[in-house]
Amino acid sequence: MGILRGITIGQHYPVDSLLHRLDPRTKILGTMVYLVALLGANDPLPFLAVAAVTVFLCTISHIPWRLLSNGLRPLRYIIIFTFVLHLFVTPGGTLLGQLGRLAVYSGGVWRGAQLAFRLVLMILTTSLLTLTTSPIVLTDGLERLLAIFKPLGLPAHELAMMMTIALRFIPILIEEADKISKAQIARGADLESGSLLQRLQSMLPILVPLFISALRRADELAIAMEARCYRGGEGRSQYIELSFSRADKVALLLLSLGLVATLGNMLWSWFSNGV
Amino acid sequence: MSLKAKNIGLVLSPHTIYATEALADISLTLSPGTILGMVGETGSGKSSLLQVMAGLQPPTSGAVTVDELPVYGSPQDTPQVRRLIGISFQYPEYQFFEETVARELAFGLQRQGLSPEVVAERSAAALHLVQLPLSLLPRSPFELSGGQMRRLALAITFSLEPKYLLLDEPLAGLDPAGREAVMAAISAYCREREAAVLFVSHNMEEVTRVAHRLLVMRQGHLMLDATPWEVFSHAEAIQDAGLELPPGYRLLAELQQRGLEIPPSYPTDREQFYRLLRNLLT
Amino acid sequence: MTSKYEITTATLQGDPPGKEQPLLPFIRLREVSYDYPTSRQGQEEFPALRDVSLDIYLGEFLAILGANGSGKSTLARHLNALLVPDKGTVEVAGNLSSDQLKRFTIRQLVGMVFQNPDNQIVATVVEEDVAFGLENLGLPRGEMQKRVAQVLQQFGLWEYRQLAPHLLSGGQKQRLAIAGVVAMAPQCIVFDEATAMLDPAGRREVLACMRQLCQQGHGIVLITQQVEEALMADRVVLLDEGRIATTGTPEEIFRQIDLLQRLQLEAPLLAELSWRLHGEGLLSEHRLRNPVEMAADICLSKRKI
Repeated sequence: MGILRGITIGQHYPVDSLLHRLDPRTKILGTMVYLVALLGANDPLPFLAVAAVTVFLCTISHIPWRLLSNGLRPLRYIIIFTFVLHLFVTPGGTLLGQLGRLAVYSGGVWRGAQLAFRLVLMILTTSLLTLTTSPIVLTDGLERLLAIFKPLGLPAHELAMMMTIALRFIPILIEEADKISKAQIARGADLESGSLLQRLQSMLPILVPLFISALRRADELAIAMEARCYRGGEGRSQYIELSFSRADKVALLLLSLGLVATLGNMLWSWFSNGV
Repeated sequence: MSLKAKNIGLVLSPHTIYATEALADISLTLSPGTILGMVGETGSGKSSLLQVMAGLQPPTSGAVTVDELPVYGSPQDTPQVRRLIGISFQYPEYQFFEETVARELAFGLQRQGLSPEVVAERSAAALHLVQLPLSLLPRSPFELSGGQMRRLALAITFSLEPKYLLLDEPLAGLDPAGREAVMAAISAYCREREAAVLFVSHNMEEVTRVAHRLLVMRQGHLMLDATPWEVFSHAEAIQDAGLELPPGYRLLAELQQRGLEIPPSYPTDREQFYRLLRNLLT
Repeated sequence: MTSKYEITTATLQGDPPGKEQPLLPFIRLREVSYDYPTSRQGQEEFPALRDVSLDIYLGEFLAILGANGSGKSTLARHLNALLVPDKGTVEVAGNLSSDQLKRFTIRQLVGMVFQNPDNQIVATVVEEDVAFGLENLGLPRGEMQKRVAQVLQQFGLWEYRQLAPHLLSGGQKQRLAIAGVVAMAPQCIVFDEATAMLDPAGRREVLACMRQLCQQGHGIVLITQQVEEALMADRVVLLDEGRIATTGTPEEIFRQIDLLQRLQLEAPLLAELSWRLHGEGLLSEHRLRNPVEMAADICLSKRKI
């Protein structure tokens, strides 16, 4: 306990907003359509349109901008790296400057900025999904969406149950890993120095006990679940009620329009490039 | 020469909305040859304090020194600090990872750069202290019984020969025979090495059996620091700290209230309780 | 089914002592023997059972007491068909656990709370975890909501219903585990060392829950190696190496200090002192006492000298 109290997995931010009230299925489908649209938006105009949608969604979510930008922080180096890489390797356009053998073209600036922004938008929107939806509702929504594929043999309930259990045990195992590593350091383990191989080896005293503990927990949990009459997804009812409201229907309609526009845009750019 | 904590404060997850004060202005000294018992309910800060004193959790404020050496000083001192202080966490057997008992024992010793002969010698001596047979050396540590596992875990800590020994709930989950064996091993180590022991538990009865002084923790504060007998006279403080006065001492307190004279040397085990009552009645 | 029920009751021997009991035993074990298929590495916490016969009644508080390795957890797992005997039978309200089709019913009738609170909570939100068992029963949503609200209030967890379970204290987590079981409306609840990992405050919380449930008419089975805990039971079963060593009221059991010592169990300190002082003729009577009673009796004896 203690150190990890601050960690909330999935980072659900419970306030009231239109986005929070939407059915998780709408939001999952919406995120998927959004990602397709984002990847398809290569030209400036569609790209700006997608960016505008993002800003709009963030605004109506009632989630503080500070919290949203916090989500970007762990990935800031990747974003900067993407920009810099494309800055130098993409030719085309006018030559803007030269640094030894490295040349920067205007095409590179545009491409680098576009890809970096694409990453930013992608992170913002997916974290919007987890911030506005509690993990349990999210897994429930996922389970019911995946249920469509059940006739094809997809174990929808089992996948959702695995997700729930993983979410439940991640904080426990993080805490345990912290404790085990402290204990092994006290026994003389050196986790900080040495070559990469040595460092990987020095992780064994932490990974082995952690793995054994996870197995023990899994074993006990399975028995406890069985004792509470668990026998898979068959004959189970669901506590959380999911239903499509009017807002959901409007959102789904807008989503379909968005999907049509995205596909249209993709086809158009494909043909115009092909010609 | 002692392990000293001075005005220790610890804030967990600082600068977030989850920031909690785990320890507040705690000072204590652990000197060789003494056993200190620390009691308090879960979340009272016992384990955090132990980790701070072991050099594993830097405090937010205050300082820890071991034999005048700062515990959170320069990295060059770290190996020496670690050698002086030994810590055993709750359920220490959950940290086993090697294939044999011998390798489990050797892990820490090898990292001190000792020769194979010395490693074998110290491993054997440590097993002897906790009364485990040498025949266990080639066995897997995971095949041992619960009591044996706990004693092996202690032997691992003992083999590193720390001068200051910090034990978090060393008796948790053991049966009476296991508790006796572990208790005996701790006393033996303390005697033979003239070590100092800080013994943490939420069970007052077991701590009282070995401790020279008792520390009572509550919500990150050090509430009481006195001899066990003095602590027991603060029935209300004990209740506030979420603890229970052991029935034997409740009996003695009750007898005292009824005007009987209880000798100042309080009993620490069943035999002594029995003798005290017998003397009262004859 | 009822007729079969009655015929076998007639062959019963040794009715439980104390209080008025309902006539029929709710759980009935007959000469249950069990061996673990292959002893897995480091898994000796599940020793065998040998010829265990035992009746458990509703409204009764039964403690099953034994040292490590005496088979208490193995026995506990037979009570709700998590394990099925190799020989002998376990019958819960007329349902034989050997019948695969009856196991679901049995688990509904007999709930179980385990030792480690962390490893029996499934969901990531308190409220949803209580619902987990109800979902398994396939109950309609309205009924689930009613029951969840009711047990969360009963166990003082209502204000935490939206919290992640790992933010609760040990005692609260264990209360949540109990709430999840009680919501399923079992008639009997087995506590398998459910207090072993808790501090005194947490232990008090959980023991209070047990007492409350027993008063409401549930059968309570407390599996423990803490002798002091068994003191609050109506009846105690002493288990040794997979066999029942003896049964009786706490009073009857804790008079036998020598037996307890032989079974690697630590008698309550005051019981042992009373026994030894009585043995020397220094205390007029050997019985179970709380500290106040003990002090009074000692003063009485002293005055006589």
